[in-house]
Amino acid sequence: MTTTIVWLSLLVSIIFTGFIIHFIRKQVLKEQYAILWLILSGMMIFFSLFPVTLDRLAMMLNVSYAPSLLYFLGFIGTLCILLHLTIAVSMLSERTVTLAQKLAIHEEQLQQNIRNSNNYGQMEGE
Amino acid sequence: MTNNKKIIVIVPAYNESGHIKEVIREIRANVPVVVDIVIIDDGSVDDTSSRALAAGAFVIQLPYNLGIGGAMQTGYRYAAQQHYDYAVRIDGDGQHDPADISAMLQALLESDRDMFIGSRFLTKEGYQSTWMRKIGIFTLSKLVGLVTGEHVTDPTSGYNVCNKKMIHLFAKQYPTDYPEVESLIMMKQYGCRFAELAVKMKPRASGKSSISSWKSIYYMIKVVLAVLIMRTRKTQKPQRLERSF
Repeated sequence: MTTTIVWLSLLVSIIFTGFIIHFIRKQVLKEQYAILWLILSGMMIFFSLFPVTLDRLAMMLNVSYAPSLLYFLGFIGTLCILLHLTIAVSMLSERTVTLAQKLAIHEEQLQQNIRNSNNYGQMEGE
Repeated sequence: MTNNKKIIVIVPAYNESGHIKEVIREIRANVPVVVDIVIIDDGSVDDTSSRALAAGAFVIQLPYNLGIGGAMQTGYRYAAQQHYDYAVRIDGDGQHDPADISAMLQALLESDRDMFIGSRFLTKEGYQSTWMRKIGIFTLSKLVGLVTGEHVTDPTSGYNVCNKKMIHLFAKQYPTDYPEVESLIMMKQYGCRFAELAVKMKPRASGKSSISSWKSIYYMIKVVLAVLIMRTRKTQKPQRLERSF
């Protein structure tokens, strides 16, 4: 592996990890979603620091250009994160639907109560 | 003892129909002052709510399961809105002994602390939990000690009493997954003080624990991560929270 790409990967991985931690600190990013991001960026840092591991892995898998293995792994990691996010969105959608339904029913029950107490008031007044 | 202070007993419950009536009954029997008992039904699929209502408690039914953090925050939001002065947390699974509520409230009233936590490891009496959990709890105890400088023997204990300051803080911000540990760090950051009191806990009498072994590992990772990152944040003032409850 050439040195330039190693340094570039290391720099980008460290900056990216820094951003993730920054967002967790500011409570903009929740820890449960951040864990996968941190695993991915941690992996990128590891392979950037120890390119020998990457070379060995590349040889084992018959990959001629080691950095492409790095990008492949990064790509798989990103796919995992996207899948995780999609699952989270699905759950949030379902919960939003439940909330909308319950809210609508509560609204109607509240209006019923108001109507009933109004009617009762009118009856009392007569 | 409490001279006209409003006290709320928040009981988070998830599928605890087997035990909830007894918990409510024992709370009433063991607490000498007037308290309002509120069951937070965290999306139970059994009849926990109807049994709680039958036992004369007030019930807040969450539309779906939020987990212990979300459930407790619901209780704190309600307590804040209704202007309660003190809040007791006691779990609906029967592990916490209501006989300790008086002692904890007394300790809270007599001290300058904002929260008193019932620790099962302070005097090592009663149910001491499984060995695996104890290792995890010990690790977390050391971590909390390192980060806050406080000696905590039972950082995962959900048995506690807190004052109005904590009620309002938790109503606005409360950790989701493993709130017991993270809230200790949060308290330190907001300049709140806590202490422990020895209690005896019982093993779970009915129902299943919501924490499996895999989840335990995930929680450990998540809590350690959250604690370490929280530590890097500067001390906060409670007024900095702008969201209303």
